[in-house]
Amino acid sequence: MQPYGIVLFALWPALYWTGRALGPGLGADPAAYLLKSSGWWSLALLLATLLLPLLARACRRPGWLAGRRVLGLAAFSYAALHLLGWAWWECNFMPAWMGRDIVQRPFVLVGVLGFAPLLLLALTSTAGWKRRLGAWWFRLHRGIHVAAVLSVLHFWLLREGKNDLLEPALFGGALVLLWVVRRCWR
Amino acid sequence: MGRLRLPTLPASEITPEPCWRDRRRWLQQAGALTAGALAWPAFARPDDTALPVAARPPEYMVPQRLTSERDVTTYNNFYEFGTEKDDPSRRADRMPLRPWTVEVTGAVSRPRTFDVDDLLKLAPLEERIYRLRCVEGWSMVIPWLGYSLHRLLDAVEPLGDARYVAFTTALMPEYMPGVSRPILDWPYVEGLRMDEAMHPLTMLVFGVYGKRLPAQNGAPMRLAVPWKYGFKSAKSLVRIDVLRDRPFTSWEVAAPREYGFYGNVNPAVPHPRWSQASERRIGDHLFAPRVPTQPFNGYGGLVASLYDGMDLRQHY
Repeated sequence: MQPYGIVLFALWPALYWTGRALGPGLGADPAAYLLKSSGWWSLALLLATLLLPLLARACRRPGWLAGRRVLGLAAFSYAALHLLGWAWWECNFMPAWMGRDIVQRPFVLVGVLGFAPLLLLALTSTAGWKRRLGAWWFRLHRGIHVAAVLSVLHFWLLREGKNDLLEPALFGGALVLLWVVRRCWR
Repeated sequence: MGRLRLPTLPASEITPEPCWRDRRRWLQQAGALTAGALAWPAFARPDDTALPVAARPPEYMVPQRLTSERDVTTYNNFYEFGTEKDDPSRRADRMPLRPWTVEVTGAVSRPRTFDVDDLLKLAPLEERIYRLRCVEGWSMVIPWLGYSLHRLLDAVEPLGDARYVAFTTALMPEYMPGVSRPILDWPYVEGLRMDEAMHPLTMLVFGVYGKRLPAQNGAPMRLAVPWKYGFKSAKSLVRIDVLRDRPFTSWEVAAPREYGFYGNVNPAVPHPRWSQASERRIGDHLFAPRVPTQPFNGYGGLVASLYDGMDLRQHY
């Protein structure tokens, strides 16, 4: 059974967008808003996935661990929407534009590279794959750290030009803090 | 059965969209005015946000649909108030707009400090519909109210060897929460070459949509340089320096790889973090494709000759 609070948390951004779209609207540039929001939530949910085992341990609620799959799949889903939004709103679905964007712009390349592990982990997230891969599954799923690092880097590079690094720095700091806590609290 | 024949109409007889739009707006305003007049005893105060429009020069109209007043006044880059697009409209209204003076000085024969209310009377206010292309890849179509900047520069008589003009935005830390963060080296400074500043298209703006500028749009006065990316059009001006040497602008100091001095709209020169070949028009529906960006934002016929012989890939 899934912890319902975690499912609700994972669905929250999509519910919020829908509510805003039906109500006050998504602002003057809904495309930019959805691009930014989907990327932001994908990264936030990645960090939440890493945080959950620590929380479950601190609160002595091993049942929460099952929520990791939901959170991870949600992070993947928002990343997929983010990628789809980029392909349409930034590139008009033109393969040549997308190719050029990836080649010319490091932050786009890093973003696409960060999506690759997420895709792999999402595909192997089923019980069947977990059984088939055995011990390899756990090694493979450490790839979430690769995705998290590349996501923070992607966000950082995006904001670098505008010297507006507060948010990526907070995400990066949170990621490092998670690592430190995991290491020291064995 | 014969085909349905539609009467053909020569293109020359179609009313240009800004014209009929304008008429609609005029009718709405007339209606509102009538209603206002009827309600006069109840609201015996003149509308202090309206500005008189002396002319609507047809050469400054564009065929695109106007961006809604709501979008124009709520989707702003004015980093002094924060980096989110809605920060300026949420936070800027506390900025005191009167008294407000702008010091015009430097290489001029008659340096002067103007009160903004005197500047409002320096020349007749024209409504001009300009395209605005942001360096971030979105665009708007905006009815500005003001006059050509050269009217102001003529009044101070630039000296013969003056070659540049620098524009400084107000710096009011107690009203501008954004300036506590080191995003730029505040205050915001922008610059133009003298011939760019004197070009009739370069506009000193006091109003938008027939009203005084809202604070978030750069009240009480700002620039509109429609063939350049929006960051060149400095807001809430307090100082204009006429210079012999080229000034350094805030963005080229902050990120020299990304922003040059000229900032001319150029689809052939990509920004390091995105292509400039196309743009998203604000107000189009969510699934509308991007539209191609025009060189000089479509104003090449008027301004391209300013850059004859220059390599615009190098001088971006």
